Amino acid sequence: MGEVTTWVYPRIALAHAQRQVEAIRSAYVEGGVARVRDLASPDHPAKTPVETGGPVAQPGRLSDIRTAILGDLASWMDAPDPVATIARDTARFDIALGRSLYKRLDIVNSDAAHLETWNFLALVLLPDVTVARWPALHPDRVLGSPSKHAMQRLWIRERVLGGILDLSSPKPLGEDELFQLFDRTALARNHRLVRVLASAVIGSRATKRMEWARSLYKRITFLTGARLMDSLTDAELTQLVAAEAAMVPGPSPTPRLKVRLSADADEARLTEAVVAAWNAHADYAFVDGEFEVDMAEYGTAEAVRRLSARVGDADKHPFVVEMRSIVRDPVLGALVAGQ
Amino acid sequence: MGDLRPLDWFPKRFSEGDMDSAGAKRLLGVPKVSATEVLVRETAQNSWDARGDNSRIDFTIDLRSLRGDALDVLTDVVFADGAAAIGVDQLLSNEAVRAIEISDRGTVGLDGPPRNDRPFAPGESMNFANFVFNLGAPRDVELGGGTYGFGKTIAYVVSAISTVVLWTRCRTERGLEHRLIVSAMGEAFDRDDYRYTGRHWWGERIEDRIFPIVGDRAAALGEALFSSRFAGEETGTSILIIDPVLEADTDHEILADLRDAIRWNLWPKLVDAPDRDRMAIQLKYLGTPHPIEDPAGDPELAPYVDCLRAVRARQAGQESPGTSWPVTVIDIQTERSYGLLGHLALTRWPSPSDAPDSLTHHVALMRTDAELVVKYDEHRRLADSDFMWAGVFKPVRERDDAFADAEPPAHDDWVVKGIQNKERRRQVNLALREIRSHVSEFVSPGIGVTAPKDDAPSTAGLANRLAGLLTGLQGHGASPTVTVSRPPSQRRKRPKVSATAGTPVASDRPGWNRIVFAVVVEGGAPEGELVALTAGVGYDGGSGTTDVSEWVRPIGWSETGSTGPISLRGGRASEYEVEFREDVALDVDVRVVGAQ
Amino acid sequence: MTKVRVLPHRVIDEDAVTWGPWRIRDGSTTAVDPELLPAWDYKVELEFESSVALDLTRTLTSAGVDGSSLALVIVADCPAANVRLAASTAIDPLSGSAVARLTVPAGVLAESVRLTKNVVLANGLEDGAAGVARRAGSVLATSERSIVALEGNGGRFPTEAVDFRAVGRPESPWTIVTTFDSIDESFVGSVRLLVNSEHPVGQLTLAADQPAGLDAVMKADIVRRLLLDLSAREVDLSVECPEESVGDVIAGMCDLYLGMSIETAIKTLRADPAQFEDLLASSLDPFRAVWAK
Repeated sequence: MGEVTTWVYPRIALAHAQRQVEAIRSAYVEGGVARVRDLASPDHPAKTPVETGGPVAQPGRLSDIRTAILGDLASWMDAPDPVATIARDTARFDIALGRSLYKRLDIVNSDAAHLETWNFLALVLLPDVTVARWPALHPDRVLGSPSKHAMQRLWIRERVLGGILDLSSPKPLGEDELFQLFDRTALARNHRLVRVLASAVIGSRATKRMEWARSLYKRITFLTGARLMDSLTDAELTQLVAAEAAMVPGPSPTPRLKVRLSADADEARLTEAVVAAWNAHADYAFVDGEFEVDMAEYGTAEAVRRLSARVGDADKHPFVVEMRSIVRDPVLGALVAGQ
Repeated sequence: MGDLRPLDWFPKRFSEGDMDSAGAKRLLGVPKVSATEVLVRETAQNSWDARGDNSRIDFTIDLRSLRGDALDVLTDVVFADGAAAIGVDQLLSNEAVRAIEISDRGTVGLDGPPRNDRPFAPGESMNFANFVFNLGAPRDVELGGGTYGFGKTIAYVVSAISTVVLWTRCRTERGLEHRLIVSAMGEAFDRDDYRYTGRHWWGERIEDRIFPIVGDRAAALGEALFSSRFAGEETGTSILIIDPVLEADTDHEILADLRDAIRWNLWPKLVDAPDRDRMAIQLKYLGTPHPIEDPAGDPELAPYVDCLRAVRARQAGQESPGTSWPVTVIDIQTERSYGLLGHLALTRWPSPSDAPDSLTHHVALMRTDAELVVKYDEHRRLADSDFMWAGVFKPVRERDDAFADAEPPAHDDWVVKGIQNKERRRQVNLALREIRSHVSEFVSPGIGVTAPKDDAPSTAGLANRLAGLLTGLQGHGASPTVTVSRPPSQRRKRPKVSATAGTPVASDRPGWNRIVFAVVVEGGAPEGELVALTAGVGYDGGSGTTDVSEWVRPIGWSETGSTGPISLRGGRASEYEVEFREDVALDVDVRVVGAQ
Repeated sequence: MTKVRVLPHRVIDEDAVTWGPWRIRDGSTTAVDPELLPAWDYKVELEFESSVALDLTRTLTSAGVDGSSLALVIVADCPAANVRLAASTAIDPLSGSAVARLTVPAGVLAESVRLTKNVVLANGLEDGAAGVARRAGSVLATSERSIVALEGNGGRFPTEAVDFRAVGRPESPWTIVTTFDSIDESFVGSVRLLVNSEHPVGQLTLAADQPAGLDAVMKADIVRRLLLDLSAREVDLSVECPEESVGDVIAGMCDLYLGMSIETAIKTLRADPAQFEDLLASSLDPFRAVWAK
């Protein structure tokens, strides 16, 4: 049969959800996240799961799920000040939360489509996580705006982008970049296209990535009037996105290295080694602006010094580390040092 | 031999408000389990309750045969007077009289004033008076098991002549004191113009009251009748039940019954724990110890022992001890109302090939501290017949009282109906319900525990057909929507504007198209209407009109060359030119923006 | 006010396109152009089918493309479930027609699904005349959008199909499971009808058509079981019951089928079970439907 899988969850109607939000708000004012934790429950007297279509997760299972999710998020939720800890690390937390929800809930997609389901999960089962991430408890986020509930969005992102969202990346896709992607109607529900776009954004070396992403999404959206994206193959989509990505105006995505390969074989070898190291490691370094280094003008040795000076974390930066290993080579080292 | 003067006989005369003793016996109800079991349970419970501050007490049941000297002492010293009134004279003419001696040591004994007619200070012990003179005193021992005092009566029920000898040693202001008194609950009778209730005592009559004999006199008589002794500074109680009548006839069978009763009902007391008080239980036959198997080594009881240990650990906030088979401990609670009510431990193990399965698929119910098995509550067997299961439930300390209230006089069940207090009734009801539901899940995993298979058929059609039962309750089935037809609105006659697209042609700019729209106004003011045209990118689900110069360039009205609104008179077509990239769709929006 | 959309390439004349209807199959039944699927739930797999027939001559003249590189693409878009699925079939170059089928697994969709049919350019063309579509996926014709409702607010009795033997239950055809502590809790949240998917009678109840009287027998049994549950557990009936609560719904059943309050129904059940059964039998009268008609 395919899909189904597997559980449906209790739901609560809007009126009850609103009451729950107020209770969470009072508890938070009274005693922070710790006080809200006391409100968490695997059950609600007015719960109304969907009548048919799957086994309903019972309080026993719901308790287990809650324990598992809090375990997954322990590094934020167990901190003395979860709200601040999350605020410093939102993009990563969001990915972790989405991942945990997806893995632990095993929820039927049809059930996940309903706001009332998320009202139960976010406000009754996991009120402490909700308030820690969205302490303002804005109704659009915690009751579900006309389109989606904030926690639901994170689940959807994991479902669609699963393997692409990388927690260990130094600059994981942020909420704004993902929000634009998932909220552009024309794109959001074409999962193949969404994956290609997300990969393109992550792989871009744009210095101001959010604007870059926004431009790319806009360009692709505009194409949907004349062409039906659903009919394109994965290869065609990738090509299309790459072509549009190349046309995104603005600051050049890669800090530029101007290079002239010397006739001298050793010098050329050094140049190549430096350029390779640069391509591999430089994109982490530049968070503002770009610059141009004319290796041909300065000579390789000087260029190496200038480049090394430009990267952050000086000694520990991967580029510098690789430079050091190049310099250990007797011939290349002599070129850099002596000259 | 010590002072063995005959005891004074004191039969109770009727006075206002008295009940005859047969009535008193009936008052205490009919137990569900055998008399042997009640005897063992209740006397053990009473001894446990009387442990005071001691962390270890001894409890011994000795099945004896009174002969020779002992019988002589009964005849000449105890029942010198009044033997006929309770029918003991016939008994004493036998060669041997069976008796059961039940002793505890390390308990406080039957202390307190040996009279029940003086007010007692709060906190003052009334053990002697309650046991000997009163029936059914209120439960005054915290978390004690004896609520209605059945244990104080079962001895009389078991004795064929309803007679027991009580020998105790306890602390008084004067120091350690021996006390001995004989008590009987016979039939009412008449004598010398008086009617007597049937309650008798033999002891020391002082004025109008009966008291136990005390001191050396009591010690001497005790040693003559009892096989147990008081060593050193020991305090405690021994009772001798004369001519017990139980289910079994022969000594051998009675002993087996006593052993089984200890095994099934007192096994928790045999499971030691370093932080719990201990009760050392012994069974003797004619004074010789009869072995009682360690329940942990008993294949039928071992799983219960594991469960009990797990619950104890959980309630003490400790780690669960290791067990041969996994034990699951479940919090029995109700989220909304009362919080944590108790703990249920369940375990499952492979069925041995030759196993008697009498005690599997039961949950042993017991109270927090007393740990006397109230009942083995039966549930369903496991679906998988290769396995058996068992469980233990104990309430938490704070809720123990509610369960105590639920116990009938024989302490052999938890009956919700018997609880007066509404809150407590609900608590016990909910707990029993939760236990049933958790056992159900444990026994038939699948509903709500492990994921059922995805390929179960859809029940939507059936659910729709049964919706009538819900008398109007809304659900999620797709239903026809009632379309509300709007009444035709009173509209002013507004001017209409239309735009007809020409054919797009390639523009001078490579990769761009050019297109001309013919715009016409119908109706409206004769001088003309102000018309504006906005051009944007058309995409799936909307139009983009801001910041789209890279894709759309409005050229403007051919008349004015501008892109802003112009005035158009009705009927005449004006042209508007737009350039747009050849990989996007163009959306054009024309509207009347005001009168001239 | 007028809105006009112009594609950058020539499109096929509306008159040259004949769209087929939507055929939606769920298991055994096929609905044609339905507005709603009343028996859909998260366990139902759907197959969407539609077709198109093109006048190839007029296609060439209007859009500038011949039939050799066209495809019919059917799209099912479900905003609620955040899912958009499509299936395409090549249009036959000789006849100008095509049939496309899209299978959507169970548990994916929600609320409603929007369906469109499109004729697109299947492959990119190197060169083309000016104004003629040449990029793959270029839209040449689009049908009107159909909306099919999958969920609404139609009443449904909470029901689940389970293999009773596999979960260790006695193998009855169905049973009622209740999890409420108090009758002011939600009915659909704490009452569930379990149907034994491996019992022949259980299977009958789930089939598309039932033998006469079966529904009435089930209803009577459900009413009976619910009242027996309340009675056995001595549930407090004096609690105030909001709408949609257990107390509210069961009171409705008692009123409808027995003409009495819950309290009276339970008293009757306990004190005069025969009377109770008679009332139930006479109001639902299942045996008449079974044997007498």
